[in-house]
Amino acid sequence: MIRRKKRMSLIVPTSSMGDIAFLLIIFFMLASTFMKSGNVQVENPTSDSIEAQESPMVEVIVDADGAIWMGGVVSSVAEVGMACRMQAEQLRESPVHLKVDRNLKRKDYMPVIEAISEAGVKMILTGDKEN
Amino acid sequence: MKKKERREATMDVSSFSDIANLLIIFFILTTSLAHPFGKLLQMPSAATPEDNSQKAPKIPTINLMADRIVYTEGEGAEREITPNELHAELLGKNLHSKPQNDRLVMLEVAEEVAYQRYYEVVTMVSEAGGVVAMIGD
Repeated sequence: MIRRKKRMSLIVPTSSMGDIAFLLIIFFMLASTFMKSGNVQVENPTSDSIEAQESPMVEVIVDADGAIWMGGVVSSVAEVGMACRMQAEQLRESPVHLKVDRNLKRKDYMPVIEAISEAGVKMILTGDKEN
Repeated sequence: MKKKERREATMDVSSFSDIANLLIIFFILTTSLAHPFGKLLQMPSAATPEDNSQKAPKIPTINLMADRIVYTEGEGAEREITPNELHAELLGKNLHSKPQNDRLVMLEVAEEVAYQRYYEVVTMVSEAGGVVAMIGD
């Protein structure tokens, strides 16, 4: 009688792969930060004289209604100036990013620009690159 | 007596890991790191000492209005200019190679000027290496 050889089955255990994948998803969900300015309505100005910049430490946004947003909170011009002055040491390396709605008039944007510049910090005016 | 066959209620979850992995791959491929675009606004420093020993140089001055731009480099030399001409004029000055004091560009902005127009001019001056000095009211 011929004895049949037992055939070894090669099975890779993949049952834990799903757990690993879900752990990765949970990790990315917890590690990512949401944009604080996601809900602010701003129509970006455009220019072809701008280039890619580092992500900011502090961003000031003046929205379509002229409201000033700093760190996700509506602030006044004086508060922006004071915050910039208080963080001037840290902001020496990382300039303040200023984003202003393209349709606003001088009385809405100039006081903010003046407040930041008077605080003695560097400022980057952000917008969209014109194609 | 014949026993009733017991049916097992099982859910096939073997494809869940595939779905999760596909989701991860999709997000990795579609995510782009948000790089803001902008221009560093060069402003005159209060600490820069004024050099009064020489005759004051003719400082380029831009008078920005809602419908036109007036450019001058001295009294009586005012001329209306288009944004493209202003760009060429500023680039031609080779401000990058000059010391900080000689890179000054005066900018006067009218009340009705929208930020888009101001932004175009200011980034243009910064690109040319100019230091923007605002003329207040």
